[in-house]
Amino acid sequence: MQSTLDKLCKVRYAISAKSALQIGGAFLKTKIAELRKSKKMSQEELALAIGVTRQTITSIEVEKYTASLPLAFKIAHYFGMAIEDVFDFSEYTD
Amino acid sequence: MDHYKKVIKTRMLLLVIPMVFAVSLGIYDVFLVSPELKDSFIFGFQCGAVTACGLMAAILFLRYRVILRDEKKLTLEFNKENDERLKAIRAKAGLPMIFVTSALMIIAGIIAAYFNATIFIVLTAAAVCQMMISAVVKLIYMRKM
Repeated sequence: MQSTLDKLCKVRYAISAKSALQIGGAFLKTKIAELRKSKKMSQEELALAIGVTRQTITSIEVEKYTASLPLAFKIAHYFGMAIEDVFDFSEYTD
Repeated sequence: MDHYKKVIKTRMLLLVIPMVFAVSLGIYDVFLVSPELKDSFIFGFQCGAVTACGLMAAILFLRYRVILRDEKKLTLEFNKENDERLKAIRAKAGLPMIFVTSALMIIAGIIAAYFNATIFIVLTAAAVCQMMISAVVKLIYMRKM
């Protein structure tokens, strides 16, 4: 049986996760632009390698859109780094 | 990518149906339809709508043909269709259901027009309005996200 506190925690978690990832919430800061430039890649090349559109890479870089967990993992894996090294979670770990 | 190629080929085969339908209905409309029906206001709309559907199907068919011949274009098209941001934008704009319901409303409007012109106008206007709203919402989110 779920306690009321469990349910409340779940609801609270869902709300904060949604606000963190979607409209109205802050968007994740990324180092994609720096990493891409260090590899001398264009946004289009990175988009092709990751399997998204160039506009999505632009949106993630300018922090207009937060990548989903699988996409974030793909990007980090492409650069050979951990997710937390590519995306800045410091605002959410306090 | 081979699976996606098969999907595109299936879509091309399905697009042949509206093209054949448009051509056959066009022949019927020009040569076989009765003069009384030709004078009705709905006849022109129906002809235009069917021609537009046929033309759109033909354009899409040619586009897919070009995509199939170029590996890079195929990859770009695949990425565009499966891009999570674009999927989210489409979902926010109510696509593809808005398009489906609008098409059904227009078809219902054309059928209803043979009995009552007001129903046709209301249904068509509502369908056009909801498609326009969906397009505006999509544009807003394309800029926002």
